[in-house]
Amino acid sequence: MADHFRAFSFVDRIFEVEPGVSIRGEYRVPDDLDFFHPSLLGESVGQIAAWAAMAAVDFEFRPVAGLAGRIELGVPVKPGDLIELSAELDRADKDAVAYAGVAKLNGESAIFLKRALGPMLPMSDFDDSEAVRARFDLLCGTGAEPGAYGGIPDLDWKQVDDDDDGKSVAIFQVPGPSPFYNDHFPLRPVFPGSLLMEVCMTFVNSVANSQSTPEKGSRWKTLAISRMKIRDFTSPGDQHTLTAKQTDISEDAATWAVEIQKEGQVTGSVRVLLIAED
Amino acid sequence: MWMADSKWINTMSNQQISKEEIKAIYPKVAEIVADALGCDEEEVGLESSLIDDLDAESIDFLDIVFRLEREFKVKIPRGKMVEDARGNLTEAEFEQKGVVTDAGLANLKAFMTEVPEHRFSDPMKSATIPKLFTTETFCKMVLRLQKESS
Repeated sequence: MADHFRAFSFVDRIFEVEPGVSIRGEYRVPDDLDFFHPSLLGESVGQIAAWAAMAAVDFEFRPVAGLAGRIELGVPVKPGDLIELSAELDRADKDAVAYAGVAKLNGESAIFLKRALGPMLPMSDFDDSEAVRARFDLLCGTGAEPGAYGGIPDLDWKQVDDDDDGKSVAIFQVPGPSPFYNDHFPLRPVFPGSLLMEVCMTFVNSVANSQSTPEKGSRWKTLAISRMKIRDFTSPGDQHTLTAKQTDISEDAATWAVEIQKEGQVTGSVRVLLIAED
Repeated sequence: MWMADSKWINTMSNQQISKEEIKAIYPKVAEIVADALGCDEEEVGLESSLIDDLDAESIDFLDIVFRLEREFKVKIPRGKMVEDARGNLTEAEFEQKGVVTDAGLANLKAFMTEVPEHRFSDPMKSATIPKLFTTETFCKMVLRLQKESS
């Protein structure tokens, strides 16, 4: 399949790996893109950690997104940039993976993941283990040819309501069938948790800036997300309801809590931390 | 005779855990549960069911178990609780077609003495066993594992 290991893969090379313990590699952001979503930096860190975890269990299991204690955004990344990736794993077995990781641009942190935890599920539900193993060998050897990622559909969300309780509501229509699903994952298309968090960040940013101006600064921008929790898979074409509420505010910082629901059931939650910028 | 022995083992392993030991470990366990679930520590009582009272889900159990492992330097394999409660029963003797057998239910009750009788439904689906887990359940599990490793 042409999109496998291309359409949504964000590790080009692995320089060092101790399965289940640590890993270091790199990713070159394609230079023909208009924009590189910040959440995809988080995806790249998650993916390199996943390689170390999968190698520890002989590629019989693979991790999926679960929890992230904190994800901090750093220097911006643009098309053409070379990202250094690394992760330290506290745990990697057939049940779960726990790790922290960072993506750096010229030695400066572009994104930092702390206290990430995800269940490990049978590889056979998602991909061919021998194909995954072969990919790992390639990444550890000569590396993959950069530039494969070609973008994703627009992440369309629409604000529908602000209620008296201070909550803002939006509907997010998950993109339908698209090439990137063939790589996430070949046997079971799943809308990436990283992109779901991107939608939440964008929604909160929009609502926060429409509702208020920080006392110190001219606008709000996203500093980090925390307490990210993904409880269920999102499939192509799903419709999510996002409910956001400001839970804390100071003169230069604000926190918003977002709940994600599908068909009335809570499928995820996250807190978005904003800071004031000039 | 063998079942009587294993019941004795279950009972003995619970008797070897004193209320004082549970009381000593409970504050840290409650802190971990509260932090993982995003609730106040005051809400996490010894008798609180993590699912029914505190709205925990499977991803939360993963988080809580991982934090307990790190804090108390123990290893908690998936399914450990049910495996211990099963005792000497085989899997087929413990549950049939997703339903806990009478013998399995008896072992569960004998093992999970911290859970009130009325919370054990009869028949009980094995998938609902985690709903029985309370904060005290996790306290006792940590204490048992610490004793086993020492």
